[in-house]
Amino acid sequence: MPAVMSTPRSMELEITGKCNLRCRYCSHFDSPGDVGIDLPAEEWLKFFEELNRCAVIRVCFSGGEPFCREDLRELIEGAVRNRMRYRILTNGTLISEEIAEFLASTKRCESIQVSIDGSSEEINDSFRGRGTFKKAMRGIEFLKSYGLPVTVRVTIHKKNLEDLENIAKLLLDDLQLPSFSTNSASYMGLCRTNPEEIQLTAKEQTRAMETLLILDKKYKDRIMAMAGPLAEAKIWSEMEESRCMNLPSKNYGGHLTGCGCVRRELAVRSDGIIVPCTILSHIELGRINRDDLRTIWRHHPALRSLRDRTNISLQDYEFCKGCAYIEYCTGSCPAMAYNLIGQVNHPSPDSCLRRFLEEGGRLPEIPS
Amino acid sequence: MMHECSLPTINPQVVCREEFDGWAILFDPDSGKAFGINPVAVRIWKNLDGKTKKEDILQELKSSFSEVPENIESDFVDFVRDLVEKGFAGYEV
Amino acid sequence: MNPILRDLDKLYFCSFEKGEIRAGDVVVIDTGLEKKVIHRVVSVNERGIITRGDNNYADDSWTLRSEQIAGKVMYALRGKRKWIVRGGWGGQIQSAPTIFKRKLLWRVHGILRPIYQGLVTSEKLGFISLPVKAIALQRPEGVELLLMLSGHIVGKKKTGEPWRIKPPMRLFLKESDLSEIVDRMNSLQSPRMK
Repeated sequence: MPAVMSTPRSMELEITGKCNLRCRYCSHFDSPGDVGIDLPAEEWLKFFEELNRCAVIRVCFSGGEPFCREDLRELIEGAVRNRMRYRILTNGTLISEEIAEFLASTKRCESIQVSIDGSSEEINDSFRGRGTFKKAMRGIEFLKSYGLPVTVRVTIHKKNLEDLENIAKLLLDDLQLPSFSTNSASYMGLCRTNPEEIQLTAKEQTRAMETLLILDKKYKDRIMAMAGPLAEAKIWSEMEESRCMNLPSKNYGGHLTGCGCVRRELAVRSDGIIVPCTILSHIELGRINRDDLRTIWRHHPALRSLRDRTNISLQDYEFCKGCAYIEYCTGSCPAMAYNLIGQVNHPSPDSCLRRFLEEGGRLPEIPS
Repeated sequence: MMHECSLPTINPQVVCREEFDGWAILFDPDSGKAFGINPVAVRIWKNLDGKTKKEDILQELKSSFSEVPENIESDFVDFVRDLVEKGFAGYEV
Repeated sequence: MNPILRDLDKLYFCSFEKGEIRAGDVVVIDTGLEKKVIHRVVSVNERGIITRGDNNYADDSWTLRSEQIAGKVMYALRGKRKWIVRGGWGGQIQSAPTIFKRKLLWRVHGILRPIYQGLVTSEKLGFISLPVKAIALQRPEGVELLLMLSGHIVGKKKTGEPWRIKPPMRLFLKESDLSEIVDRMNSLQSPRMK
C-alpha cells in the first residue's frame, strides 16, 4: 500500500450546496452532504491560509454548482494567493464569456469538468433538465475560446446507453476536446428515489462495456474511467484472466484495498465540516478554522480506520464466501458500499463481478 | 548586489511538500511543474535565502548527513543551476 | 438586486393585469432574450417605464412598454425563508439602504481614486522607503520579476509587460526605483539568467 502523505495533497471543497439544476441522479442532493448551509467567503479564505501552511497544492471546487456562488472569483483569487492550483466540477450552464476570461487570467486552472450526458438536447436534457444541453455547450465554447483545459464527464444511464458513440464523436471529433471521462449513475442521492428508471441493468451494463471498449480502442487513451462500465470492463477482464490462468494475486488483492483517496486527499462540506470524501459525507472529522487540519489528517481515528481497511480480508465476509475472484478483488469504493448496505467496511456489491455475472451480465471481448 | 559567486534565492511561490523519509516535492503552481528532491536537496532548498553562503551550506550538509559524497560541491552547483533554469529559484536584483 | 434578491432565490410574481405599475415595484422584464431581468421601477412617465438594478450606477438603457413587463415580484424564497418583496413606496423604503450605500460608495470612490492616482504620479509618499527587493525568475517566455516586501509578493512584472503592483504599495514606490530594478535585471542578464 502506498504510504500516507504528510498532509493532504489536494482538497475537494463543496463551496456551495446550491445548484440551478436538479439532475435526476444527482449524488449531492438528499445525501449527507446536502446540509443547506453555505459558508461565507471569509471562512474559506481563512482556511486557504491553513492549506498554504500545510503545502496543499490543489483544490477542487465542487458543490452543488460552484458558479452559483457570486463570490467564486474571490475564492479562486484566495486559492491562487495561497500557492494552489484549482479544478472546478460544474454543470457548465452558468459559464459566461466574462467568467471564462477571468479563469484564463488566473493561469492556475488545471481543469474544468463540465457534465454532458448526451449528443443531443433530447438525450442530455432527459435527466439534466430542459435547456441544459445548449447552455452547457455554450459554456464549453467560452472555456475553449480562452484556451482553458476543459474536460467532460459523461454519466451513463438508461437514456444515453445507445448514444455513447455519438457522444464520443461530438466531444472528441467535433469539439476536439483532448479527452472525456465516464462513470455510471450510482445508487446515491436523488438516484435512490427511482433507480430502476436510471441505473443500468446487468445486461445494459454489458452493452455499455462493449461499446466503450470499442470506442476506447478507436479514440486511443482519450476516454477515461475511474469507475463505471469502462473501468469495470478493464478491471473485471483482468480479474477473469488472472483466475483462468491461476495467477498469483497482486497489489494485496483479496483485501479492502479499493480506495486510496484517503491517503492523498480530503474534502470539506459546504457547512465547513471536514469529511474523508464528498461521497462519505456522513463521517465528520472536524470543522475548518476550528480544528487543526494536520492533526485530523494524522490522528483522526475515523481516517485511520478508513486507511486500515486495507488489512481487512475479503474472506471475512459472508458476501464473498466461495467467490472465485476473491484473490483478485479489491472490494472497490467504500462510499458505494455504505450507500448500498450501510457499511463502509464491506466490499461494494455494485462492483462485484460475481454478482454481475449472476444477474446475467457478460464480460465483453477486449477488441484486439 | 549580485556576484558571480552569490547563490540564488528560492521562488517564494514554490511549494515544498515534505513527504516520506525526508524526501520532498517542489511544486510550482504557476507552471504546474513538480519534481522530487532527496533529503540533502531539501536541506539546500531551505538554506537558499539569498544570504547564506555556499560554504556554510556545504559545511552544514557535511555535519548533518553521514556519507556525503566527495563531489558534493559539483552536485550542489548542478542542483542550484537546475532550480534556476526551472524558475524554482532566482537571483535577487 | 442584492441583498433583497440573490441568484437562485425562488421568486413568485403576478401579472399587472389588475394593478398599475409604480415606481418602487420589483418587476420581471421580458428582454426578448433567453434570460429575464429582475429590476426595480425607477419612474413611470408618458414615454414608458424606466428601471434599474438596486446596485447599478445608472438606469437601464431601455425604456419599457408595459407589455414588456412580465409581472411584479411578490414573494421570494431562499432556502426555507420566505419574505414579501415590497412594491411602490414600500419598495422604495426597502431598497433605500442599498441605494444609499451605492451612492456613498460611488462618491467615496470618486474622491479617492484621483487622490490615489495623484499620489502615485507625484510620488509624494516616496520618501517612505519600503525595504522591497526583487527576485528575477527564469521563465520560458523571458525573465519574470517578483517584487518582495518582508517575504510577501507585492508586485510582478513579466517580460514586455508593465509592473502589476498591489494597491496601496504603489504609493510608496518611486517610478525611478522600479525602472532601476528592470535596468539592473537587464544588465545582469549574465549567462546564467538568459
